[in-house]
Formats: sequence, structure tokens, C-alpha cells
Amino acid sequence: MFQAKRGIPSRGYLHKAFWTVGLLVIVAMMVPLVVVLIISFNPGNELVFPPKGISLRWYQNIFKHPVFISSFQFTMALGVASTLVSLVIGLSGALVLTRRKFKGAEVISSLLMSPLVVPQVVIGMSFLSLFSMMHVYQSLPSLFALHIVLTLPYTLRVFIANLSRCPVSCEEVAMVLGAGKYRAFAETTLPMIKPGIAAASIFSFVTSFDNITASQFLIWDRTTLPIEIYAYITKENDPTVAAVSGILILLTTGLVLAMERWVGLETVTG
Amino acid sequence: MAAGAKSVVLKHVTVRYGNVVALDNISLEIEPGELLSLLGPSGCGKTTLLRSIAGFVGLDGGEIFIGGKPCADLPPSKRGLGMVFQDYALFPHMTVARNVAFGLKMRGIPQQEQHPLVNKVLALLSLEGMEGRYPRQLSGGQQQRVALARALVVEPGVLLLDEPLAALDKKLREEMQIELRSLQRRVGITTIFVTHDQEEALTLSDRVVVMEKGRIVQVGAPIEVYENPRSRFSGVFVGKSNFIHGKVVSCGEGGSICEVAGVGPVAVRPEVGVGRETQFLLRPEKVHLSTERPPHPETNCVYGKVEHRVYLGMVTEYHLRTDRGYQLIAAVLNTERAAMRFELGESVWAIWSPDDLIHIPRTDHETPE
Amino acid sequence: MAQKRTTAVSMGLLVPGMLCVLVFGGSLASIALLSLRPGRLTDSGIGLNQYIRFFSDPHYLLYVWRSFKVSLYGTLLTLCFGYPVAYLMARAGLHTRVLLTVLLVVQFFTSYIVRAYALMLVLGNNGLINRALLKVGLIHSPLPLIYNEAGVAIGLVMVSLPFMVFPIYSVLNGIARRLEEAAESLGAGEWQVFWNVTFPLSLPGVAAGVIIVFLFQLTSFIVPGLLGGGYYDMVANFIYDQALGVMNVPFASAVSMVMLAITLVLVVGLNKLFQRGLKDVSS
Repeated sequence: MFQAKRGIPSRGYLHKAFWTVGLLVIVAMMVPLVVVLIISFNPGNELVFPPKGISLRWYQNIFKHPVFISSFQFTMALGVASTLVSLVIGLSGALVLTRRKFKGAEVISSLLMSPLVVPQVVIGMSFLSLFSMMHVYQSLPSLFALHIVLTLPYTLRVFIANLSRCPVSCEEVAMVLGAGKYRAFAETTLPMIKPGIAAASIFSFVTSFDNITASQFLIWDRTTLPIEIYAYITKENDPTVAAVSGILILLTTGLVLAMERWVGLETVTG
Repeated sequence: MAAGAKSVVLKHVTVRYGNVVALDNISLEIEPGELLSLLGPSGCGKTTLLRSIAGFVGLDGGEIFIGGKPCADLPPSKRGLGMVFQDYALFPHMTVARNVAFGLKMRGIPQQEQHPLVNKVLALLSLEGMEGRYPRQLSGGQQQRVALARALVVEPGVLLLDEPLAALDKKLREEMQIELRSLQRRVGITTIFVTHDQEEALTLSDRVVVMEKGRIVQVGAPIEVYENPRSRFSGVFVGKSNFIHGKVVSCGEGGSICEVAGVGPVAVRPEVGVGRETQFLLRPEKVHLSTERPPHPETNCVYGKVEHRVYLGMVTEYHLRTDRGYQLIAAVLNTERAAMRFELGESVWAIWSPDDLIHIPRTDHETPE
Repeated sequence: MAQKRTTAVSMGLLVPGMLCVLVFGGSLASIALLSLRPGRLTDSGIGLNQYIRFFSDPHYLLYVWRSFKVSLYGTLLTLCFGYPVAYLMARAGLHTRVLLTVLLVVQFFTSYIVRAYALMLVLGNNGLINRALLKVGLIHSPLPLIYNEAGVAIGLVMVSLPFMVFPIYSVLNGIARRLEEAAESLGAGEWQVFWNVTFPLSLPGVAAGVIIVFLFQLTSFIVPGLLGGGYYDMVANFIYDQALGVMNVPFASAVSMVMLAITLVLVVGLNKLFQRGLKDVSS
């Protein structure tokens, strides 16, 4: 951080100013999450510092609201399913876009990425109207379609970035050495994009899991966990939701740490 | 453009990175106006030395004086230096003119005064007309000259160059070497030049500093370092060399006789005590080849087969092997009649004079091969 | 023959992607159609009534104004707070950088609802800040930091910080240290190095961050919903209320189309603006 040797006084005020502001901002970002965790263990209803004790009361209370559990399961399933589909579509799309040069590749690429630009509300609204027009008043198919469309840009982007780094020449060499077309792909390109697959899945899953704004337009017979949390906050006033949030925060932290260890966070930070 | 050329003095400079000693007790005095090269293989510390003079590397011991003043507390921006980096480090978002004017701007010189100074230095480096271009629009050689112009326009006391010609192709590099030398002489600025190319060091420098593993192995004028290497490392790193090591068997007036394995008796000039192991360096161009038997075949010559022949345009190198296994390189100038004179497999006599054997001091002996 | 077959296979790989585009396009087309219904959902006919209704009523336009206002200064604040974080991440040693990255990605991956709720616990009348200040005696009654513009602004800034930090960090990382050293060797002090070399070269990252954050804040739903508590609804909240509260789907569709148009104009416009300004800064 700071040079310990003599003769390098170029780490001056600007450096210190950036560090101070930067660290304060980071602390400010983390404090609310920590507060949630603390509240979730509070025996009483109030926000008291220091906490009067540790209690698992609110965590147990979660079970008195089975909608949390069922929506959690649904959200997980939805996330996994849409991620899998998104991976396949994203990979196949990326393969074509990086390997073949054809007119309109740019346009198609932009179209596939367009959900990133359109506001969530508009996406939700438009899916609502589409499925209403088709008289499909069911959450499962509509949410499934929605989440695929929402997660596809992320998998596509990651795969395009990854495949650009795996030249076709690797596959061609494999073919010269005797491997058939698909075998060549499986032996050369596929192993090289494995970290990309992991990163794309995590990104995609998190996008699906966290989505509220667009998804809430399609809540007919099923809900997702974040939407349930939102509903609970606006109706009730006890820290059960802090307990649910606390669990989510801990799960997220675990996920990020695992990702850092095995995949690397460059896909996220750039 | 007479710069106030400064001297640079290093006293017992030491730099460590963790357990690795990058610079080990370096002491050096650089005269104002001289062009000094720091020469050595990768990792020898030459770049670290340059950067510590610049102020980018802190010292773990010792002192550096620029123009007589200690600079331990001075940041790089206050040392009054000019620096050219290996990849030129031109600001991509500024035109050539703004790049060159940068140092002037930092010194608060108003725009009207900047123009004539910038134009003068651009003319000096044959860059007229390039003011409005961006670095990405320039060739490698042009970029290099812009980097030089940028460093020189502020009239620094010392100019630091970190392998500035490394990225150029050979022909351009040789041209730039000559240009750089004449420029430096004209401007008269103290210049410290880092290179791993010994030919470059010999071409450009007033003095060469040969470095190995963080230490200075030898300092001297190019001819000094080439003709009188003080260690095996200098001998090997600068120029090509043959090594002769043997035991002194007799010592008399004017010299000693060594017994060299695979060669036979060798007469050497220095009077070294009998029984001692000694080591000598023989430059390939000092070895004469002939098909005729020399008048005194008992000493200072070998008879061997041409094992390998390398045609280098100006010279031809012959790699000989005697039947007792000793290997020798001879370099023969390709005058009209002598070009490619000896064939592969041909047996020739290799002769040298005792005066051409350079004695390598005992402290730097390594295990003979 | 093999060439034609492989091309067909390759193009075939695009089919699922194109299906998604069709579904998405189709849904956008459907609200475009709905927005042209002059009256209720079940009425027929085509007209621009919904649009006229939206643009002629200042109450409705207020939502747009509010969204722009808070997003403009919100984005500026996010930039001011986010740039130092990106800078210190880019300049930190390996371990520090990993730690900071993990913290930021945890923020990024945590659902907005959790982060907004967490902010409620901090900003509320009974929240961390007010309780602490009351206890210490700096204030005598709780500061209104929630259910108003201030709360929404704070929430927007906090939630969108990762979106600002990542692009800037990415670009800053790519700036060769050599360039800064060259500037230093030419006499530039710390601040001059930053202002003349580092900052201009980081502008592409700044531009990307600003565009992403501005659009995000403009179209935000949850933060104004929770932290505004109904007192500072923005355009997104308005659309939701119209669609699923008041059940006026055509009107909501029209407002959605307006929002979409604004977004597209901004994306294209801001990109062009920054491209022109950044023309000289290329690697």
C-alpha cells in the first residue's frame, strides 16, 4: 500500500484522499447489510444497540410463513431452469457470432442484448400484455420465458468474450490430427470455456433469482422469494424479513467467496 | 541547447525486494556530460539502478547525489531529470506537440513561450510537421524520437534511457544509435543508458558499466572493457571469447609457461608463480589460422579440424576442435582473398601471440569446464 | 456440399436465440398495440388518446420530472463516491484488491429488495442513524431520511454504486503505470499526474458507468417504492400502479412506450455524446 522505503514521497495527499473517501464509501455500503444480520438475531422487535441478546426467534418464525419456503423453492427452480436454457442458447448464439462473419451479425447481437437496455418495468409490462393477449394466465410459463430473455444477454456476453479467446485454429489442428468435427470441439474449445460456463451460470442465476420489477407483473399463481419479501415489508413490521434477508446475505457471501476461489471475479468486475 | 549537465554519484546504494538483493552496495561516479551505459543480462539490476536514480525505487541503503545534492527526499517530479522508457510511454490522448510540451506545462511556462521551445526540439529530432499527430499514427522510430524530444525540451540535468532502442528493427536501431550519440554530444547532457546489447554499449558509450547480479563487475571505456576484461563474466558478456586455463609449470623473465589441457604448453606474459592455476581469455580475432606449420609449433598454437563455420559478412567464424578435445573459436576478416578460405573438416593451425592473452584475475575464477 | 451443410448447422444454432428475440419483440409490440387503444382494454379502435392524456396532465409529467431530477444528481453523487472506490481498487495490493472486490460483488449480487430493506433499517426514524444521533444528543427529533426524496436519493446512490465502480475500475486497471511514471519524470506532481494523465484516460469507464447508472436510477422501481413509501413515486411505480392497481392497461402501456422511447434516446444520445468527446482517447 504505502512504500516503506526512503525516497518515494509520491504517495501524497491525493492518494490519501482517495483512500479515505473510498474506504468510507465501502464501509457505508456494508453497514446496512451488517445491520440486517444483527436485527435478525434481536430477541425483541426493536432496533437496539448493543443488541439485548441473541435469539433465533425470527428465524424460527420463517417456518410459520410457509410462503417463504415455497417461494424460495420456486425461485431456485426457476433460476436453475432458466440458467440452463440460457446457457445453451447463449453458447450456440456465441458460437455462430464469433466464428462466422456474416452481414447483420452486429444487428443480431444488439437484438439479443437488448433486454439489458429496456427498463425492467417495460419488460414486465410487455410480457404481461403478451401473455394476457394469448390468454395464458399462468406464472410458470410466462416467468420461465421472461427469465430466459432476461438472463440470455449475460450468458451471451460471457461466452462471446470467452470464445473470442479460443481461436478456431485449435479445433482445426485437432481435426488435422484426426479428430472429427464434434470431437475436436469437445476436446479443444469446450475445456477452454469451462471457467466461462461457471461464470455465466452464476451471473445468470443471480440475475434470475434477484429479479423483482419485471417478474411481479407475472405473479398469478406463484411468487418468487424477493417478491414475497417485498410484500411482507409493505404489510408487516417484524424482523422475520430480516431473518430471511440475513439468510440470503449469507448465501450470497458464500457464493461470492466460492466464485472468487474457483472461478475468479473478473467476469463481474471487468 | 547547452544543458546544465549534472554529475550523478551513487554511494553504497542497496535495494532489496524481500529476500532478493537487486542492488548490492553500488558505488559509482558519473561525470557531467558523459554517456554511460549500464550493461548486463536480464535481472542484473541495471534497470533497478536507473529507476532508483529516477526516484521510482526506494533505497534500502546508501545515497544518491544529483548535481552534488542528495536526493533521498526528492520525488521523481523534482529531480530535474529526463527519462525515456522502453515502450516510450507517450500519452495516447495527446498530440505530439502536447506530449512534448507536457514538461513545460508542468513547470508553468505559458503557452506562447512553449511553442518556440517545442518547435526547436522537434527540429532537433527531425520531427517537423508531426505536431498535430497522435502517437498511434506514428512509426516506432518516430515515437522514439518524440519520447526523446519530450524528455529533452525541459533541459534536464541528466537523461535516463531504459533500453530505448529495444523495440526497433536492427537497421533502424543502428541508425538511431549514431543519431543518439551525435545528439548527446551536441547537447552535452549527462546520459545514463540501460542496455543488454553489448554492441550497443560499445558503440554509444564514453564508459561502460558491466553489471551482474546486482553488482558492478567492471567500469571503463569500451576499449578498456573489451580488451581488458577484469572478470570472466565481463569477458564472456562483452564480445566473444576463448578461455584457456592451466597450471603454471615454469616461470622466467618476461613470462611463464602454463600447461593447458588439450593444448600443450602456453607462454604467457605475466609472471605468475609456479604451481598456480591461472585463467586467460583470448579473443577470436586474435587467433590466426594457417595451413602452414608455424615456426615454433611447441607453444601458443594448436592443430585442429574446422568443425563449424559461420559466415557473417564481415568476418567468418571458425569453430575448431583439436584431437585432444579442446575447442577454439577464430574470427577471420573476409578480405577478398581470405573469404571462406578454410573448408569444413579441414585441418588448420591456430596461432596466437602471448601478448594477446588477457589474464583474468584469480578471484573471479570459475570451475573450468 | 459439406460447406453448405455446415453453414446451415451454424445458422441453425442461431434459431433459439432468434426465438427469444421474437418473444421479446412480440411482447414489446403487444404493448405498443395496447397503447393505441383509446379507451378501456376491452374497447376497440385506434387512437393516440392515451398518449395525449399522459402529456397533457402536469400531474403525470411530474413523475417524469421527478425521475429525471433525482437521477441527475443521483448519478453525479454516485460518480463522486464511486470513482475513489474504483481508484483504490485499481491501485491496491493484491490482497486488499481481492477483499474489496468480494465486498463489492456481494453488494452487486444481493437482491435489491434486501439492500433497500437494509437501508430502511439504517435510515428510518427508528433506524441506526437516527438512534445513534439521538443518543449522542446531536439532534432532538429524528431526521426525515426515509419516505421522501432524500431517502430515495440515498437509496439510489447506494444501490447503483457497484454499477459505477466496475466499469471505471476496469478501465483504470488498463492504464499503464508507465504513463504515470513518464508524467512524474517530466515534473508532474501527484495531482497533475491524475488530472493530466490518469483521469482523461479513465473517461471511457466513467462514461460507461454514468450511462448505466443514470438509466438504472431513472427507471428504478424498488428503491422509490420502499424508501419513498409512496411519497416519491417515480415513473416505474406509476406504470405499475396504472397497470395492476387501477387496471388501466392501455394507459400503462402508453406510459411504458414513452419510457422506452426516453431510454432509447438517452442510450443512443449519451453514447454519441461520449464517443465524440472521447475520440482522442484510444489505446
